[in-house]
Amino acid sequence: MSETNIDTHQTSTSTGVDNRKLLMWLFLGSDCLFFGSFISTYLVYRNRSLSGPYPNEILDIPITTVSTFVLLMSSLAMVLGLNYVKEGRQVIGRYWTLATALLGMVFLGFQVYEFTHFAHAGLTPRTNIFGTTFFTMTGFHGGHVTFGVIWLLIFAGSSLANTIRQRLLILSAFLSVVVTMIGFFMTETLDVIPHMPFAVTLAFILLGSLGTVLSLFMLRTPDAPSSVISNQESNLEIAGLYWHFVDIVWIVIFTVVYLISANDGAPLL
Amino acid sequence: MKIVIDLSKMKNSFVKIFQSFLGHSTRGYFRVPNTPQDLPDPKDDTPWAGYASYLGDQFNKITRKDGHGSPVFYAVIGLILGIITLIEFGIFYVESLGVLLVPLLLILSLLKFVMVVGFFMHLRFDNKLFTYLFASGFILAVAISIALIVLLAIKP
Amino acid sequence: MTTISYPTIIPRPKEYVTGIWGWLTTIDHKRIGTMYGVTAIIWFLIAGIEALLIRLQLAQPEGKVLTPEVYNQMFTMHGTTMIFLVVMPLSAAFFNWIVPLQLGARDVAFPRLNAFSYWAFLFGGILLNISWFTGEAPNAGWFAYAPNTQVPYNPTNGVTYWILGLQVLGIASLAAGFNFLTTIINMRAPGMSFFKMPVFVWMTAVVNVLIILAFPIITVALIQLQFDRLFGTHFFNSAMGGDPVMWQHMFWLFGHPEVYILILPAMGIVSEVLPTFSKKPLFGYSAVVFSGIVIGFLGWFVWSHHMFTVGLGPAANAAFAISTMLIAVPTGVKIFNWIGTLWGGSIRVTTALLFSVGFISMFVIGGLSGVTHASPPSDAQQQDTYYVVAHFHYVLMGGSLLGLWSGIYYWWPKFTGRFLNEKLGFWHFGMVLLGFNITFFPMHWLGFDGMPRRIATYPEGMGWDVSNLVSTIGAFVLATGILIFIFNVVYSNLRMPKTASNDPWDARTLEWTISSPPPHYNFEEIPEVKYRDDFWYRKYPELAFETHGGGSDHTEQEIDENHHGDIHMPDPSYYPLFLGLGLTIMIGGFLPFLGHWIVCGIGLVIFTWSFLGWCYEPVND
Repeated sequence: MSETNIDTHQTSTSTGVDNRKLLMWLFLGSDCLFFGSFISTYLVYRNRSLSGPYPNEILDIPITTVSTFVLLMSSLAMVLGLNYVKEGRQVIGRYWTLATALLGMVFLGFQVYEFTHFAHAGLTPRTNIFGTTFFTMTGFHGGHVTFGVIWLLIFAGSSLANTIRQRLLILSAFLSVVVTMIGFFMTETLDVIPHMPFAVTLAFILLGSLGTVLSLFMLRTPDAPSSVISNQESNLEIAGLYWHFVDIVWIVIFTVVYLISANDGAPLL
Repeated sequence: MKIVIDLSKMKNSFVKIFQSFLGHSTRGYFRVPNTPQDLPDPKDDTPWAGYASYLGDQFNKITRKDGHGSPVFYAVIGLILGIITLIEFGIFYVESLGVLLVPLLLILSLLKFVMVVGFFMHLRFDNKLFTYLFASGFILAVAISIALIVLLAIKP
Repeated sequence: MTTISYPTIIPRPKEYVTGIWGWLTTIDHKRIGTMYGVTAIIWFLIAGIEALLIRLQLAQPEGKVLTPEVYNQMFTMHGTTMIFLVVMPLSAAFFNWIVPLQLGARDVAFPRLNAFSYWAFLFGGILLNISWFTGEAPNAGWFAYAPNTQVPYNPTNGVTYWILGLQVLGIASLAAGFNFLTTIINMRAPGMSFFKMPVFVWMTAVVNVLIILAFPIITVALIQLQFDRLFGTHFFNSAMGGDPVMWQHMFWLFGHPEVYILILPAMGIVSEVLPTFSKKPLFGYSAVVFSGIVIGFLGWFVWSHHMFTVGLGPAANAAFAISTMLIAVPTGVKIFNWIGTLWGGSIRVTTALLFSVGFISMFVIGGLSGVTHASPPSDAQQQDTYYVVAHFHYVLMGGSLLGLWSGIYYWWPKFTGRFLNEKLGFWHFGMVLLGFNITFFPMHWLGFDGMPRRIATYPEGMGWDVSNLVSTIGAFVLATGILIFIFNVVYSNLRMPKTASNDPWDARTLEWTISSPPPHYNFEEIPEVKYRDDFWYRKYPELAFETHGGGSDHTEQEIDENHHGDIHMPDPSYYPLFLGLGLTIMIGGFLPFLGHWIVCGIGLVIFTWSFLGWCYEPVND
């Protein structure tokens, strides 16, 4: 996303690694402490909620397993994208990057669903200590995912697309995914739009899916020759590191919060 | 009609078949190519020697300084990650595990963690500096979490 | 190279800009260091006035100078300002100026990020201090213990200002931390292995590792407190299952590494000054470096020694007592090594040396009172008394500040080309040392006598009157010393001739190889380093034979005055300024005033515009 940071004759570094890659690893080490603080707050406050929905009543393990799987597959898509870009197959590489962003959006969709479902079930950050710690921890994780999705979308949009047509197609792929997800959420009675006819939700899902597939299909043949699409290998590598980190934080959260703490209930005293 | 039963010839045939079946001869019906075990001083004479060195070569191709695995390799890692997730989901519902569940889940998650960090983030095969930097942050975070849990669990 | 061209209103400034716009868009580490230093000194004077007001209030029993509400705000802001707006930025000023020069680099790894750190620091400090003007400065102490900070007990916006200001300052520090670590790891001169780096650079590295690992913890704690106050969550609300002691844990998990962040730069400076003025290499370089690393490492295991009286239980108290006592060991190693450096050297007494020696003695006193704190039974009496105030002022003022002053006097010729007047310097040192000891030494026995901290007045007849009065008089002596320093700075700029050579002190490290002040590209040719203290052995090759058993066969580097035409330094940029501004407005928009979410949104827009502009900024050819 940015060009070289220092343009002097000192182009080689003492350790041979790129400055920006080193910066990203330092940032990830630091971010471990950030998430570690939230997760340890959650763990310290287990079984201390005085009232309200408890984890054993409200956490939905099957759906969260699916969303974990989606995020893991997005990590796979990321590394495949980087792999293709490194091999010199820029166009396919950036499709996989776009796929990473879209899968990340699906994960966010699951999170949005979970948050609204919990809110409807009576769990908010204010309800009890479980709500407080759970929402802040997963909320900040979701914030990190959102930043990553935006980063990847801008990356795919700026370096995959050369023409207005291609940028519009990426935009339409993005919007179609959103439409599809709205359709899925409407099938789970969220009371967002009460008494929504089933046909309408089905239409949303079908149109959305169709739009996604069509947009991605039409993106297949780029208009500009691939020599115009420049090599952004190191930028993508850094974005990839960030994305994988967000994934492993979710692995930790899923295990610790959903699987291990899923049977927490009222205080034991 | 004279039917001649030549026992020695039959014996020879049997011996030849027997020998070629065992692979000691490259002539005969069952032509099995020489394996590393046939060498006078085989490096590794376990049955899977060839596969081990093949996989070792693949691994080295990926893990040399600027190497990167084939898409198939990464897809396989992704598949393994998915399977581990399914296993975690499965054993979550097994009541009979009791207290074993938590360590088991932690080990499985650790496995996923290491695979993503090591392979997807290529940490295992980049400069050791990155490993130290990331590991120090991670280990510190884990240590602080454990210390806080212990401190707030003990009653004064 | 992307095919997106980012819309720009003003073109990116070209290489060297003059005037105010030059300072606003600078990404030169030297200018940024100067800005950090000047801003820090201004905050120092402001925090000093806050301290004088505190002392005036306490000079007599039942003082009427400040009301209790204002007194609470005064000591909170004095502490917060001194730590986050004075000592840390002064250290950052030295990191900025000295680290690239000592490494033989032309700038830091990420110059625009460097500039952003400064602007975020400036705007964050302003955000924090705007609270004075709205009449609601933070009043819960610099450590803001819950539940005093919860809305039922603290309904005004003071604590919110504190939280938001610290968030911005924290982000500034984190950015600087990443920047300097990358610089130190990746931009050393060829031949400079880690164990040939100067000790100041080593201490900077340890400090920045502590910064990047400790500041996320305070970031989380501040977020949790802000959510409690703004959104009604229950992190520290015991009525709903939260625990106020968690705030103390989270704060001190940050707070203890923070105090090592405050002291290690000064230790690094002293490790540079002492060898120069004793004409000897630092005694036990490896021991000093390893001690610094061990202090940084052990500093993570001692945080609950601030919580001995909270009721953690005997097991926890014992564990933390042991770890705290252990951490005195590497500090002692350093002290002995510094004494060993001076011992048998050919001492040249300058103000810089006086301050460094003052550092050693004052820090030892502060360390001794610290050791008495390490034992929970004795700490049980000392906690929350003036004994603690004495301890941390001895280590922070007698330690960090004296060390930083030593650095100012040592490196002033390098920064400006002029010297600070030595006679005024001696008076500065004398008055400060005298005033400092008169102010803070009585606080030791005030603490033993039981005078609590953070009380606005005290009654007559407690036996504390005389000591408090003496302390106040000492504070004014100290203030006089500081005024002498300010006068010295002004006098130096106006009256002292600009005659400093490259190497006025006959020193040992690479920054003294270039002119004073350095050219904007620092080094004509990046130096090749062969030994530790390489410059010394280039000057005195015969010593190289003695020490290293080999001649210093450096080739003469010809300095061609007109050669620098093809050194292209990075262009200035205005995006760091606007990113800092946008960040502060965005975070300040969390204050609950009318229309604050709109302000937050405006901040977000500026932030996003600056962020993308930074990424897509063109390079001027």
